[in-house]
Amino acid sequence: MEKKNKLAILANGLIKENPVLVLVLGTCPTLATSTSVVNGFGMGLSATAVLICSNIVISILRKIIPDSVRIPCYITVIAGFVTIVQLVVKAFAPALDKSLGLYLPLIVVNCIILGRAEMFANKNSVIDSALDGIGMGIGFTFTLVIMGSIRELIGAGTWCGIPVLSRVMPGMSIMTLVPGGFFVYAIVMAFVHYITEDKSKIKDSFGCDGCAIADECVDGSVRLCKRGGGIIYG
Amino acid sequence: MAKYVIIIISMVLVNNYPLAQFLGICPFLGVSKDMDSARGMGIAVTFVMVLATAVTWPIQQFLDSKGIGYLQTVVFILVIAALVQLIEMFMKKNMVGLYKSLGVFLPLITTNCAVLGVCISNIDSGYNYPQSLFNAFGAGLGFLFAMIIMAGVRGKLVDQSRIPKSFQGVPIVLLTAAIMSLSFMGFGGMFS
Amino acid sequence: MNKSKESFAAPVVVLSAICLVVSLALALTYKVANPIIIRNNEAVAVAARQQILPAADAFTMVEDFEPASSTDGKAAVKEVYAADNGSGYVMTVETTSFGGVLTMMVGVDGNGAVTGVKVTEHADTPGVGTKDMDPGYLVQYNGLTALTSPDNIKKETADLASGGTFAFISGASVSGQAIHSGVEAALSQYAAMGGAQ
Repeated sequence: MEKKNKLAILANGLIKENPVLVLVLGTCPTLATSTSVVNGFGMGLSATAVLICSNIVISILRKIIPDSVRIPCYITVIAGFVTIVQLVVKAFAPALDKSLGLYLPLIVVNCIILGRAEMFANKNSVIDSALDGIGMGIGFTFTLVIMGSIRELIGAGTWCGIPVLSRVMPGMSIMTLVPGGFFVYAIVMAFVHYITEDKSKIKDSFGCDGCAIADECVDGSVRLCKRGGGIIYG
Repeated sequence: MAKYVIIIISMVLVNNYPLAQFLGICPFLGVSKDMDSARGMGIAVTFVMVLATAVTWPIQQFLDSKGIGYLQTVVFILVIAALVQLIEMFMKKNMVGLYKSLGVFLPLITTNCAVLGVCISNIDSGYNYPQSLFNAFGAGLGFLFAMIIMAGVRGKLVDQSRIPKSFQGVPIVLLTAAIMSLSFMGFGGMFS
Repeated sequence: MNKSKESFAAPVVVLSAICLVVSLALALTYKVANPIIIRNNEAVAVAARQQILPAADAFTMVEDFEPASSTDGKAAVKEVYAADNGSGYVMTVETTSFGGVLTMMVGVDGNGAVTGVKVTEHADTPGVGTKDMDPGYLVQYNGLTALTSPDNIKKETADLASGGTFAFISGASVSGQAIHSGVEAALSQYAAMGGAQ
């Protein structure tokens, strides 16, 4: 029973609550860094590292942090880990740092991370929070790699830099550009909708689960988030 | 002066944040359901962007002078969070009318990546103080512009247009954004 | 009374403590990572210069020089590195291209001939402007001592002073022009500095 539970937490982020495709969180880095498999994987890995570490630390501190300053505390912890990851990437993978650029520090405002801190880590034990971080991180990375594969295959004709389609046809570089990002994201999400076919789970609004006031929010429209106490949105 | 005009036009059309740089996508997709919210969010973001740049740019100079530039991310995000909180408190007390129309959006802005993004990119591109302020203003205007267009298009999307079941909701909005960004690519190279 | 004081103090103390711990952790990471970052950047730059001017052994940065520009004013020389064995210069040139600033490196040997051109940073359209950054295209500059048609590359080819033709890429003329201006700026920098020492 106990073991199954842990497995469920891990699997939750992969499929049922896939942060990108089902919760619609973290759209900016998803679109911006899925231009190639390597970029998507690098971004996914960096965000996963931050997610796991911040989930663990916030879970440890959940009894110490006063409710009134919890958001600033979470942000500080997350920003700290982001900077550490940024320095590590700069030192050991300078090429990745160059291609991720601005989006590396922007992991701070990735709503997946703050969303999981607020929704999961501050209510659950350290181990559960770590598992949740791993699951969500894998879900994020997996989606980025899938989208990166599609965009790289069609856009550049390569996969991970290995020529595949480019042997038979030139790449359609529009796929690696901005419109291609929106387009592939739309198609992948529509495909997930199609295969799950469970409309009750599909959100027609955006990222509400990551919002701190999701309980009070009636239908995902911001106008109804009257209390305005929630800062999580991005 | 021409230099500043170029910065603003290039941020609105060529380097439009949501449509060309993937910054501020969440509110761009999420708050563009109706025109009023879109306009309110756009104005609030522009306001916070300029103010945040006005505060973070001098802070970065201070951090650099002390050799602790690596604290950038931590300090910036905390400053933005505090700033938004202060603006909200100030508006609530002194500008009730404005607070009613913009106030609800303010708390959502802290984690808007466009705000932190503009602060960091001002530093990265080595802009001086006035250039940074104009850059932030232009970025905000571009965001407002994109929000209003998107809200207009989504107003027409709703009922009669028979959208396939799988595409209802988020995917059709993303497709709309794809076509919009495709047309914005036409502005590329305006200043080359 | 006492309680309200407590409820005010606790958040402040906790938040300050967290900030302090985070700053310390960052300072520590920075101490470890920064030397590696600096070394990496240096190694990459040295390798790039070496590749562009293979005859050189080591490079010294030229501190004071009068930066030369191209005739159309779009490109300007930013850095000059002189080879220690006098085999030539490698210059960093910034030029204005389709997507904004384009940074490139140009090597010029002791005879005033281009030894290599490489684009290091750009914001141009992948698949269009990047065609002009392909080594197979840029290799055409190697060996040239002067550019014959600096401001008209809209044509498909241009005759070279040294004989032969220079084949431009149609549809990507803005990037091509920008790179052309950059090479031109580097060559006039070379002339202004009076050749290799």
